[in-house]
Amino acid sequence: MPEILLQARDLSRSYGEFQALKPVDVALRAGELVVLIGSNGSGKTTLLSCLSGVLPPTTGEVSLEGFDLYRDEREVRRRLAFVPDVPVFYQELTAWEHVYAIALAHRASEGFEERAKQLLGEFGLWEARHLFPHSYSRGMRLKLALVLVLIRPFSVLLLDEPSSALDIESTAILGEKLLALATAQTAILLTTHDPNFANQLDAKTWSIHDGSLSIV
Amino acid sequence: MEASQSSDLRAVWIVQSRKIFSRLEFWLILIGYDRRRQSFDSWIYLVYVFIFFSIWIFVVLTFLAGVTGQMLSALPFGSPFNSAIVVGGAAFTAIYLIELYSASRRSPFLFSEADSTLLCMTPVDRRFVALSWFLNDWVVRGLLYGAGAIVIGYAYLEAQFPGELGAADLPAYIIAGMRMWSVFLPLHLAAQSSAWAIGAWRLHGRRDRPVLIWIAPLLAILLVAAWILSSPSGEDIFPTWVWSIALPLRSGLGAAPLAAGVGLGLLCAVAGIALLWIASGEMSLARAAQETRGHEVLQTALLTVNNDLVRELRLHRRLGAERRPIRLPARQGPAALIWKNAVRGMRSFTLDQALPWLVILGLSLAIFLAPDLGTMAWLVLVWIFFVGGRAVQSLRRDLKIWWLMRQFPYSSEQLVLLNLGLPLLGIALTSLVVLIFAVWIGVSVPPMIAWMFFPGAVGVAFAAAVDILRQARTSLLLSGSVPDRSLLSVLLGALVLGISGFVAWLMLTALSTPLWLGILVMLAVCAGFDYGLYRWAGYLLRNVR
Repeated sequence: MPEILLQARDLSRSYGEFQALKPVDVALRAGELVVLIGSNGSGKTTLLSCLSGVLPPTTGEVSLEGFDLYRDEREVRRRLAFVPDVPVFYQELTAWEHVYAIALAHRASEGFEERAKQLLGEFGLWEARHLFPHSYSRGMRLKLALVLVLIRPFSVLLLDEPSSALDIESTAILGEKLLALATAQTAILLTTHDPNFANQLDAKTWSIHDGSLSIV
Repeated sequence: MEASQSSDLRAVWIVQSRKIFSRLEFWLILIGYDRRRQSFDSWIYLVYVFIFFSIWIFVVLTFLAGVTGQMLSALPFGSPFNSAIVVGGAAFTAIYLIELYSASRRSPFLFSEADSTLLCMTPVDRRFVALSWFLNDWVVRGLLYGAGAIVIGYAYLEAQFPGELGAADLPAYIIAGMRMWSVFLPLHLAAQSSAWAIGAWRLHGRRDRPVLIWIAPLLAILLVAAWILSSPSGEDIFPTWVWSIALPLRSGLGAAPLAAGVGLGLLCAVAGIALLWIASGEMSLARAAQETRGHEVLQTALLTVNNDLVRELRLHRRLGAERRPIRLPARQGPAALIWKNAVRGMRSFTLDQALPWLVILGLSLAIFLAPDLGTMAWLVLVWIFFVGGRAVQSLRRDLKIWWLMRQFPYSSEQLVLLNLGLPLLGIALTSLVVLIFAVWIGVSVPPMIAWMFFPGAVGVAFAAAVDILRQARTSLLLSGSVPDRSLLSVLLGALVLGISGFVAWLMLTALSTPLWLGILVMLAVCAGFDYGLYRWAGYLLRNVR
């Protein structure tokens, strides 16, 4: 059985009295591709945000390849990539400069130009690479966020509704990329409301309802 | 009135009344008006508020009038009366030309996002929209304008009787102010409505009318040319036509019948509003909304003192949509974050951002020149405030992009340090420049303060970072809202400097140690604080709630 890359125990998140995520145990193995489904407000984004460290959980612990999400920050951040549903960017950097800065920060500058050109080209952003993200459409911003994670190495990928604003062509390309990453032993957890996209991935499905997670 | 017109008017009133009430919210609370019960909490309190503000406004206006009155007497136009005509006329004309130019460039009707999706898409009568938007805007401008007119009226009175007016002359003040106010208000209504009429006409259909932009500059050129070309008659220093068009002003100053000035003003106001009514009939609300959506957001941000949003919107405007990559050498690893911050700093740098650096420079020098310890302590507190603000600017901007910040493969302490690095370098350079300059101009530089500058600034910077991070909440960071510094940052910074300095002073005075040892211990204490604050900031960043 492939090794567990991402593990969470007793993970929960409350906002005052309201429990957005009831205590859950999560294990994501290498090469596993999981689609998390659930209605609006069911706790999908909360779960992903807690797993990625963007939102601190009320209870529980998350570890990545044995490294604690909060204690071993550097090790975790090298391995974990996350794309939120509404990504925001630096006001003063162009799309190209964003990609460059992320690649440099993750020491992934080898063959950067070719890889960046390929990724930006695949997602239809090459011509718009010198534009500021604030002049991008919502779909273009989402594509840029995807490029920012795909330009760097990682072993666990968390995506919050990545197909929500993408065109058909880009959704298909994203699907292919995710399948290729899973084949290369990357663990992927994503949320979606798009049944066609979920079918394309032919992935394991988890369902969340009122903050309670169940594996379908 | 037809039924459709009546429903149009009601629709516009529903939208506009909410805006008016939200604008007046603060003042309604101040006067104790309960919107739910639609009554005042206490009539006695209302009378008190009325008296308080009447006195306060009167005092402010008379103070301004005192300064303006001296200016009227000093101006070389022969008499305070002539000076008042020139100042009042020039101010009125300049404001009108600016309003006209602005309206001919961009829609004067500001529509919010909600207006553009709700109101602008309906077939509501454009004339009602234009008139209600105009009146809502004019009320505020009219108040300021009226205050300006009253100041000129008071100033003329004070210039006529310099130093002779007292409390007994209150009726004279009131009459002088009311005369100017009653003449200028309809005149301003006329001017603004005619300018907005041009703006409404520009928005007819889909075609732009760039020629309208030239109306205001041409009018200005015509006025200046007429002034230069027409020669004054007799002893008069003004051309004859100036006296004719300055009739309302003369009437406001008591040199012509009040009825003539007010009558002329009202006539012009009716004409201006009629012009606006006619011009706005075919106005495209969709175009107006397109042009002003961003501007409305900026205006609201300015009104609510949302400085971060104001800065962001102005930055978007300044940067435009596209830029070629900056040629700045970059390296892998943590240096990438310094590169990123340097590019961001270069792109967002404006002259107003240089001002705090100049203030830090000036304050640093002033600390050496302080005549006593008390003054020096105050200067140090202000210095802490400015240094803290500069130091955490980059950290605050990075916290806005929380999802990306959490993915850089560095510890929280490193992230704090990398964000504070460039500003601290700037502060170090500033300190060095000040020290060199102080020595060069012969100011005696106490060695303890000189040695304390940089390590002290580091402590102040980390104290400001601690203050920001302790207030930060992930739910707010994810929506781009980053807290600003509180008083705690200044207190923490002052503690670092105060305790370090106190320890050194104690060693030098009580223990009579050599100066170098006192400085060494002071630096060690300060470095200890710096390190503690650095670790604290890292801990807070790692565990943002």
